[in-house]
Amino acid sequence: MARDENSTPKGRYLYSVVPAEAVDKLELDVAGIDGAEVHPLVCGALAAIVSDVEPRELRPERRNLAAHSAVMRTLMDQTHLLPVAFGIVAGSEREVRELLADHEAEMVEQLEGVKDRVEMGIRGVLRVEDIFQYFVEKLPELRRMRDEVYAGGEPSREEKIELGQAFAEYLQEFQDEWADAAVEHLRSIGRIRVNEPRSEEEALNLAVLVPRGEMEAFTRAVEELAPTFDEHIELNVTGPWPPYNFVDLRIRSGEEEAEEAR
Amino acid sequence: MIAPPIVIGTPLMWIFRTVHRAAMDELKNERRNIRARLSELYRDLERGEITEEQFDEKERKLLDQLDELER
Amino acid sequence: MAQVKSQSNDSSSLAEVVDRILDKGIVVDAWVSVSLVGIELLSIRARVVIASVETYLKFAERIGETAAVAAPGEGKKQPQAEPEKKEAEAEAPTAV
Repeated sequence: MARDENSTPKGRYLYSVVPAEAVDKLELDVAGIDGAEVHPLVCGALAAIVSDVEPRELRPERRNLAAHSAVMRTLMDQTHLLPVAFGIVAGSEREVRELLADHEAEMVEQLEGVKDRVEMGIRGVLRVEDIFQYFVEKLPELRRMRDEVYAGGEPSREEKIELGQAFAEYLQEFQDEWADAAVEHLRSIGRIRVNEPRSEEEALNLAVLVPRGEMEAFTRAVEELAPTFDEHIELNVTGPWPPYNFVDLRIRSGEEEAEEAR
Repeated sequence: MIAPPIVIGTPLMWIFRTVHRAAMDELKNERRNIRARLSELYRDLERGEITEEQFDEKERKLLDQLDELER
Repeated sequence: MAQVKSQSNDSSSLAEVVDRILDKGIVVDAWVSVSLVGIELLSIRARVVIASVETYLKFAERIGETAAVAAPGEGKKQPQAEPEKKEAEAEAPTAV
């Protein structure tokens, strides 16, 4: 295919890897990064979903994140897939095909692992007015430390650090306990990934890979889980999502990797 | 900038590795920090706690901070 | 009793999206165009304590403020009436 090398961007922004057999039926009527057209690059059993882009530093600005997200939503309705992280730009089409060829077995295997499954997110939020008050009331040991540290006026920096660190450790213990309870309850549904809670107010942050036939069972399981938790914890379920939490593929630079495009 | 130690296996090497690891951890923390704040920013916008203009302003600052990390 | 709230994948909600696409998914080191992309090792339990001194100090200060609430008149500081952005809709009842 003849191309004017000067006008067509050489870089390929990667959104996702899908099975080659899914490509024929794909409708990719969605705008990608910079409003570019989204198209598949087939190689063997796999296809990469890409768009043409100038190789450059891509800022994770809203419009870029939104474009990436829109492409993913379109895709996940049509095929199972392996999501690519934001901002992965290959130097050329050739490089993309090489990636697929070099990692075909692994990618095919991971695709199998997410076939007919969707990712659901569960976040637990502590709905209290002040979480520090909440923990101080819940933990006599923390209360004692607080009273000691603040007994004689403004505490030293070291005392504060020690107190803060103790709190952090208690918090993590609770978050671990809540995560353990949730995993125990939900593991029969599907794979689970326990993530770092985003803040002190977040009690729980899980992703569950739910097989398509099990969505009802999943919902029931979450509803059964809720009463076993502290009454102030609110469980928020989101999804379905592309299986970001269940893809484990980090391709590192080899000596043979040419840096020319960057 | 840390000059590589001359002799492998000495305490110098250990210090080099430790400082490097600390620097990498620091960098990872910074990145995770910015990611978390970006996520919060979207939540604030979606909850209507900040305006579009405020979002754009804060987003710009965060992304600039990110660029700084690169140096 | 803890409540469950379901939110479907709201097409305009980027907060959840951001937590995923910046942190997870296939990463090709040589092609990363933004340094925010997660390069942590994946494990079944991705819990790494992100401790920083600033965080500990902040925790200590907030804990110090609870002293003032528990014993009004004895405390050194009055609790700040700062808007708690994240918990704007938090219920009033104190924790048990």
